[in-house]
Amino acid sequence: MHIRQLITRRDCFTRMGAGLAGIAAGSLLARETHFDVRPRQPHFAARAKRVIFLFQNGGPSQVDLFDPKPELIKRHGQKPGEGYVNTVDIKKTGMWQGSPFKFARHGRSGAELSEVLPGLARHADDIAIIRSMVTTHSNHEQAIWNFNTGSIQPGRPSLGSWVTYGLGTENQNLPAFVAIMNPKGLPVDGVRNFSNGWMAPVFNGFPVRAEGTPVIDLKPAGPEGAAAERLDLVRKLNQEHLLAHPGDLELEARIQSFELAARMQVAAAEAMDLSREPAPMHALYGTEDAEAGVHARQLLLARRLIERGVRFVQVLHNGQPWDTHRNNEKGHREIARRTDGPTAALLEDLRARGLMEDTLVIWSGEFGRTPMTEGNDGRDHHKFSFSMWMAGAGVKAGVTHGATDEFGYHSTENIVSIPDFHATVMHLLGLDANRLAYQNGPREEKLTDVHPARVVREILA
Amino acid sequence: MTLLPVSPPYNRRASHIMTAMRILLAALLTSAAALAADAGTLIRVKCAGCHSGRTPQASLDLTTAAGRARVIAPGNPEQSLLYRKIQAGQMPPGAKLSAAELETFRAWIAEAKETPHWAFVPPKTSAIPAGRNPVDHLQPPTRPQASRVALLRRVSFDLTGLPPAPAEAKAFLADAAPGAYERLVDRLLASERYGERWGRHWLDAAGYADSEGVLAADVIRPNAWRYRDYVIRAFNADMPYDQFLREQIAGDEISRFREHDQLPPRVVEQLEATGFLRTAVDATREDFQPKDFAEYTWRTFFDTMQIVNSSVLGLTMHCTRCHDHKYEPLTQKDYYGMLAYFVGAMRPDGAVLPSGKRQVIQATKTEQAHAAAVNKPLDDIVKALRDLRAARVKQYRALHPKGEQAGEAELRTEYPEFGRAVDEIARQIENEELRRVNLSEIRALYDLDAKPPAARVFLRGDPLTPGEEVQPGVPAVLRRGGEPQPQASAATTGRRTALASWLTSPDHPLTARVMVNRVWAHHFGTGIVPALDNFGRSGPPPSNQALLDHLAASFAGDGWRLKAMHRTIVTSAYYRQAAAAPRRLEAEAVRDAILAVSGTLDGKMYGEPVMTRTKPSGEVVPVAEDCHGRRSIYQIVRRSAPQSLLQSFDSPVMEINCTRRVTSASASQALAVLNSDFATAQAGHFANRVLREAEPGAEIDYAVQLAYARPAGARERDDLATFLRRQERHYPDLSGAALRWRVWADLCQALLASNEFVYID
Repeated sequence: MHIRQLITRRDCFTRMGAGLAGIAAGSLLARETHFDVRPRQPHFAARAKRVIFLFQNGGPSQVDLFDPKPELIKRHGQKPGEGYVNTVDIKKTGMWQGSPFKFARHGRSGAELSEVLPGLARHADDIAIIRSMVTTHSNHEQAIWNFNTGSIQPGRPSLGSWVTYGLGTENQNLPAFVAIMNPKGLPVDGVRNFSNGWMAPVFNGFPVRAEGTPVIDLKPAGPEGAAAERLDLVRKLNQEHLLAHPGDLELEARIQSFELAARMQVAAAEAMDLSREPAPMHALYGTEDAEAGVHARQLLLARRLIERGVRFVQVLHNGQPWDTHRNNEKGHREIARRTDGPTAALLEDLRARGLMEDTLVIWSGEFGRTPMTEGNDGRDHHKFSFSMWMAGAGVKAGVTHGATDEFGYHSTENIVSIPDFHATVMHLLGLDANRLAYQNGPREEKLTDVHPARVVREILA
Repeated sequence: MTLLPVSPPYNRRASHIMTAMRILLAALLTSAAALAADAGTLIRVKCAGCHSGRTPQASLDLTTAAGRARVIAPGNPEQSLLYRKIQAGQMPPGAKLSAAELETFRAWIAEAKETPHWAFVPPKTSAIPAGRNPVDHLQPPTRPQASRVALLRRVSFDLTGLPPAPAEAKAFLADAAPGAYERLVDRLLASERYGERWGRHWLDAAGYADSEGVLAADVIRPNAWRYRDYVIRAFNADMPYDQFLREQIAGDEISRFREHDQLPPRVVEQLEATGFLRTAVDATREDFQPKDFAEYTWRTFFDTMQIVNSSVLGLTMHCTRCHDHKYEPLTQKDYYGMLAYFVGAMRPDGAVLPSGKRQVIQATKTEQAHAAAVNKPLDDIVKALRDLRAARVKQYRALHPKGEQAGEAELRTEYPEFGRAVDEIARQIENEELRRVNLSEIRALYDLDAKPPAARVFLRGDPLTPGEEVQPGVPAVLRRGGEPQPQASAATTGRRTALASWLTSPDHPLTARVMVNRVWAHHFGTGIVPALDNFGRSGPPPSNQALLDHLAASFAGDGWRLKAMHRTIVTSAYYRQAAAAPRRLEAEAVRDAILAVSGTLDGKMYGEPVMTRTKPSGEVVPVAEDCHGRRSIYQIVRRSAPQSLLQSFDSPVMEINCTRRVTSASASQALAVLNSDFATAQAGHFANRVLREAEPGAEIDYAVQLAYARPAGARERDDLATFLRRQERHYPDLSGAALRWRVWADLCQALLASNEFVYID
C-alpha cells in the first residue's frame, strides 16, 4: 500500500514538474536552476551517458602497473643523472628502482600490464591506457583537487558536479551524483573529493556506503506505516501552505525534495540492497573475499546505481592506499589484490549487460610515483608522469596512448594534462568543456577554467 | 527535458521594424542619444547573435553596459577594441558593416563620455520630509500591509534568528496601543539573541572557522571562538560600525597592547577583534613545515585580502592579484598597494611562526614567569613518563611472537601486567598535567615590528616571481586626495590604522553602502545591489540607488549605528507589507528554531565551541546531539567536517568567505528532517512541551502557535485531530500516556519538517 501510494504521488509530481518547466523562464530561471537536475540535452551527440570513476587515491605507481621500463631495471640501484629528482623533497632523491613486477603483453592488443593486475589483463582489449599523464603538484591535496576539479586550489566543483550540471540525471528517484565511500572512511581531504564547490548544493556528490547504512537518515524510526502517514501529514501541511503562495517555485521545489526523499526510501533501499543480487554475481565480484570484499561491494553497488540511471558514480578508497612511501612492492601487491578482481568483474559485468556501450569507466590516481627509491624501499609522489585507463562508451579499446622517457620519469609523447583529460571526459558525454559555463557571481566559470584543454581524440573510438 | 541555454533566438523582422521606429525617434532626440540608440540597434542586429545570452562568444555580452565598457574607450574610437575589430573587417565575421554603419559606431564612441561609476562616488542623502521614514519616501510599498501575525514572525526571525516566544506573541498581539510594533522591535533589538543572529551574518563575510583548513588534519584553532564572541558582543553593544571595522583591521595598533603588562579588558577586546584577519586557512603548524612553503603561506595572505576586499569594499579585487582587472578600473598594482598595508603583520617569506603560536599571551610578565617555572620541570617529568611507557611497549614486544608487529591491544591481551603498567603511567601523566599553568591566549594579528619588508607586485600573482616594489596605497580609482599616511611607532608600522581610517571616513564611497546593502539583503533576501560582494562596474546596478545612497550616507553621518539602521528598515511600510515570496530560514535559524520550539534551546552564550563527531554512517553531529541545545553559532565550524544538518540547509563549507548563501531543497535535507536522530528527538521534546504546557483541549492550537506563531485554522485543527486519532493504529503495543506522546511526537515532527516552519512570509 505504501508503494502504490508513492507511485500515484510520483505521477502527480511529474505533472507538476512539467508545469515547473513551463514557468521556468525569465527572472525565475536563475532561482529555479538551483534545484534542477532534470535531464538536459548535451551539446552534441554523446557516446557516454554515465560515468563510473574509480578513484585510486594515493597515487598508483606507473612503472609498476602500466608502463614497463627495462632500462630502469637495468639501472636499478644506480644514482639518477642530473635533473632526475624527487620533486616532493630533493633531499629524498634515491637511486633508480626497477619494478619488482613482471610485465607481459595481453589480448589481441598486446597491452603491457603488470603481474599484479591479472584481472585487468583479461580485459586488456577493453581499455585504453594513457601513459603520458602529467599533473602540476606533488602533494595529495592539491593533486586531488586538480584531478577532481581542475585547480590546485580547493573550493571548485568536482567533475561529477560539472557532469550533472551539464546533463541532469535520468532517475529522479536517486541522487544524480553518488560517491561510494569505503566504510572505513574517506580519502585525504574528506568530502571535498566530491564537493559541489560554489555550485548549487544539488550538484554535490551524495555520499553512500557499500555496507551497513548506505544513506544517512534513509530509514525512518518506528513503524513504516506511521512514518508514511507522518510524511502524508507533511504533504498536507505543505499543500495548504502552498495555496497561500500559488506558483512559488522554491516551495514547490522543497515539496518535490520530500517526494524524492520518499522515493529514495524505496528506490535507494532497493538500489543499495546487494542481497538482491544472485549468488553468482557476488561470486564474480568477490564480495565475500576477505581482502577484496569491500571493494567488490563498492563496485557491485556502482553497477546497480549506474543501471538505475545515476549519472555519475565516484568510487573512493579510504586513506591513501596507493601511497607506498615504504615497501612499495608489498603495498602495491596488497592494494592490487584488494581491487583488481572486483575491477575486472565490473568490466565483465558491464559488458554482459550491454552497459559498456554507454557507460564510461575511468581508473586513475591523482599522480604517479617516483621511479627512484624513497627511503629504503618506497616510492614518493610524482607529478611529471603517471598512467591511467578508461573503458567503455566511445573509448578506443586496446589502445595504449602516449609514452614516458626510459625511466618513466617524464611524460614525453602525446602528453595529456588534467584539463585535456577533463575535456575528453566531457566530450564523450557530449559536452564541450569550453562551452559549459556556470555563473558564479560575476564570473562565468568553466571546468577547464582558462587552461588550454585538448580532447584526446587518439583514444576515441 | 530542458535544453542547455543557448543565445536567445533573434527575431529579424521585429528588429527591422524597431530600426525604422528608432530612426523616427532619433529625429526627436538629441544627437548623442540618437547615436546611442542607433548604435544600440546595430549591436542588437549585428553583434548580439553571438555576443549575448548565457554563454556569449569570448564571454563578451555586448547587450550589457559592463560588456560594452570592456571594448569601448569613451571618446576614443581608435582605442576601442569594438571599433578596431569592425574597422578591420574582423567583426562581424563574414558580414562586413557598411560605411554608414561604421560611421555610426565611430561617432557614437567619439561622443560618449566617461561617466564615473556610481559606486566610486560618495553617496548623498535625499531630502526626506520631517518625520517620514526615508525608506517609505524613497521606496513606497506596492502591496498591502502584512498581518500582525506574519509580521511578528518575520521580524522576530530577522532580528534574533528565533521564532517569537509564546509570551512575546501574546503580549504583542494583545497590545492595541499605537507604537506596539515599534516597541516589539525595540525589545528584539535589545535582546542578546540579536548579536547571535547578526554576528552569524558577519562571520559569513569574515570567513570564520574553528579549524586551519589546509591539509587533511584540519587542525582545530583553540582560540578562534574569542573573535566569534567579540563579534557577538559588538553587535549586541551596537558598537558603531566604523569602530567595529577599525578594531578588526588595526586593533593591535590602536590598543598599543605592547605598552601594557596587564592587558586591560578593552585592549583584550581590540586584540580579539583582529581575529578578523586570522580567519583564512592557514597551513603553518609546529609539526609540519610545508615544502612548497610560499604557496601555502601566501595563500593565507591572499585569502585574507579577499576577505577584507569582498566583505568591506564589495570589490572583486582578488582578480587583480594576477593581472589588471578585466572589467573594473582596478590594476594589479592596486592589489599589491592594498596588500602592502598588511606586510607588517603577515610575512609569508620570513620564518613564519606556526599558526597556533601566533597568539598574544594574555598574562603579565610575573604570571608568565610563574607559568614557566611550573611548566618547565613538568615537561621533563611528563617526557620521562612517556619514555618509560615507550620502553614498556618495547620490552613486551620483545616477548611477543609477533615482535615489532604486535599491536598494543595484542600486548594487553597476552600480558595483562603490560596493560596495568601503561595504564598506571597514563594516570600519572594525567595527574602531573593537572598542575600545568595554562595561560589565556588571543588569536590576534599584530605587526611584528615597525620595519616591514618591501611589498612587491607578483608577476602572474606568483610569489616566486616578484616584480617592482609598491608602497601602501588604496586603489587609484578610489583615491580622493588626503588619504591618511601611516604613522609608524616603535613597535608597529601604523599602516593598518591608516587603512582603517581611510575605510571608515564618512565620505568613503563604498564602506557604508556595502554594509547597508548587507543589512538590507538579510532583511529582504536580496540586496538593493544584488551582488553583495561586487559593487564594481561588472556587478549588477542598485535597484534603487537613491534609497541605497540615502541609507548609506545617513548611516555614516549618524554615527554608523546598525540598530538605528535596522529600526529604520523594519519599521518602514515597505518592510511591513505582505511578502512577495516566502524566504527560507538559514541553516542556523532552522536548527535554532527547532530547539526553541521544542523547548530545548540552551541560552548559554559565548565560550569554547560545541564539538562535533562523525557517526559511523558519515553523519557529522554535535557530540551530544539529543540534548545539546546551544545555538548553532556556538557549534564548531570544522572545514573538513561540516555539520550534516546545517550543511543540508546550505550552511557554507568555508573556503575563503561566504558573501551569499544559496537556498536549496535536496533529498538529504528532507531525509534529515524526516528521519535524523536529531529531528526525531526534538519532535519528542516538542510533544512533551505541548502536553505539559497547553491548556487541556487546546493542545493543537498551542502546537501550531509554537511552530508557526499563528492560531490554528478550523480545518487545520480537524485535520490534525484526525491525524492523531488515525496514527494510534500504528502503535498497537502502546497505550495511555505513552501512546498519546508517541502520536503527538509524530505530529510535532511533521510540523517541524513542513515548509511553513522553515519559511517566513
